[in-house]
Amino acid sequence: MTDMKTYAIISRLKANKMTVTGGIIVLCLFLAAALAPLIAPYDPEAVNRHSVLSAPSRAHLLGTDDLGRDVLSRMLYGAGISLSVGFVSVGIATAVGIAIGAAAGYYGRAVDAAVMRFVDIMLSIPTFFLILAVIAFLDSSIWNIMAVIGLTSWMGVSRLVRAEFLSLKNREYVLAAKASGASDLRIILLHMLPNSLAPVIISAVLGIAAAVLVESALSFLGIGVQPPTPSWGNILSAGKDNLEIAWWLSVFPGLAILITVMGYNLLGEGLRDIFDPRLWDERS
Amino acid sequence: MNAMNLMEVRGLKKYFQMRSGFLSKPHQVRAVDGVDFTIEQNKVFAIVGESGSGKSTVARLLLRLIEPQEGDVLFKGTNVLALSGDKLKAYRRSVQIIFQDPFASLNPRMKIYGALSEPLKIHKTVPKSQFRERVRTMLERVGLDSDVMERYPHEFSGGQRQRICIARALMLGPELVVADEPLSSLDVSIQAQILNLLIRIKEDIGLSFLFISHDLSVVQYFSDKIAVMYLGKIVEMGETAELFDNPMHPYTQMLIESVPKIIGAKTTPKPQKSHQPEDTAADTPSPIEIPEGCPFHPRCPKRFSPCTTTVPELKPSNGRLISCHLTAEI
Repeated sequence: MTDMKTYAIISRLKANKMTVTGGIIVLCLFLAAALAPLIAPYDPEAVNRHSVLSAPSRAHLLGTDDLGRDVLSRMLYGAGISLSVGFVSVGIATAVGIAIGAAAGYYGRAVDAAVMRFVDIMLSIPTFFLILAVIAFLDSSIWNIMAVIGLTSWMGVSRLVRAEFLSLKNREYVLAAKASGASDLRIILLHMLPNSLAPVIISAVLGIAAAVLVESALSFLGIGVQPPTPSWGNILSAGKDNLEIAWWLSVFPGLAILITVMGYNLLGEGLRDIFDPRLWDERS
Repeated sequence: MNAMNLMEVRGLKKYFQMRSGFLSKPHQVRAVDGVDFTIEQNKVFAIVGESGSGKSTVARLLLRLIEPQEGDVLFKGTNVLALSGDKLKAYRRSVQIIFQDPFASLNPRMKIYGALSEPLKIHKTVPKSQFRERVRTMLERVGLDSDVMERYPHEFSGGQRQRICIARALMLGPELVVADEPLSSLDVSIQAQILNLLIRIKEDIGLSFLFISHDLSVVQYFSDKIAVMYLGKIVEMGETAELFDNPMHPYTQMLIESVPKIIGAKTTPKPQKSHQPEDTAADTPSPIEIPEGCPFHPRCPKRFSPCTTTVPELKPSNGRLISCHLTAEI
């Protein structure tokens, strides 16, 4: 009994510490992105031929790139780009996933079978190469990137929502609403969706991390956010050409990506532990 | 007589398809296998049986929460199974349900006011300005303060939640309430309170009930007529008092025998031990593999040769309906 309690307290603290750390990282990123125009020491697109590839110093805390632009300023502006790509694409993925998963779980049978086979097909396509192919045909504007990432990453959400809906469909309060004559839409939006959001929120937070990575990878390959607009991926990409003489160009954006992804993952995993009903009993 | 019939159920069947694996051949669960009964106005009709007998499936079929394979459900003469759109909506105003588990029957993220006003919002029977008043009146009727409106379901006990569910079922002024084991998951002390509440409501507003239960003592107290279900079929049906005085089907006898007796309560004759074959099974067979012949024969203490081969028909006998080869012999 006491062992169980100790374990519960430890696991709870652990979960909370993770969540709090993740939350702080994410919050810092938000602040950096929001305050970029105020705190950035230089214009991120201002070229300075007198300080090309200068090492980190008091004037340029994180050094400058091959055109003499301040890396810190570019990264602060890039944070906003990375975050908005993450949020918008996950927003699209979650909305599409909820709609498709809800339809499959609520209507079941033929609808479910058809929709879920479509999900299987989508899952069997290597997403990254699909994105590459699509971006090759469209222009690589930031909106296209968001839409493409969003429309290729909704499958996980739809499976979660479907599973939740299948188990909620025969819950008595849903049947009571049906017996009261509630429309399908009303039952889905008011009775089922609010009670199946916890896993969706967790997967959305984890999804942001994945989207940030995809955006960085696309920009690194030169088909994502186009220069001169700064993004962590394209700063990193510029850095690779000068890796031997200017390590700071690759290391700092790389670290930023690492910390961001870790922050979202910690937050997501922490939320998962907090929402996990198997841990609830032990906590009370 | 016929004019007083509120609901008539004829030949109702519901088979569920079960598939254990992708390639295995599906098997059928005959949850409800040809059921006929009539619910009279202002009366309480009870269905009793063990779990797996199909009694809750009957409730869900009558409310059109699931669709049957075969059969008719007539409510005041109109076929309920053919209704759709506005006519179905009107039917839903007349027939409401109370579920067994009060912890699962309220949306955890909806306040009590939201849950109780929802039927009014859907049916727009009263203007919006009167919603609050209606909810308050109904809460008072089920013995709750009106300040519960702004609270969430998790703040209430099982008994209070069941009162809220009863209030929700009454919001639209139904004529028939289907109560699917409304007392089974409550404490014994609370059961009596809720049962008394149901009786009072029935007398106050002249409701009819379909009362589903496995608790015979409650059924004996509350119902006017009883149908005993076993593996999807009615095996005995008659007036409550008569059926308790003289249970004729061996299964009904077994159920009444199994009710714990309180000193002074009426006792029923013990089953004759000499008749009991040695290999009678103790548990309900699964509705997936219903035994041949009389479905009850593996457990029946009085079985004889025709029971294992021929299904007995539900036939009138002594003013009630019974399906047993024994009564045919007599």
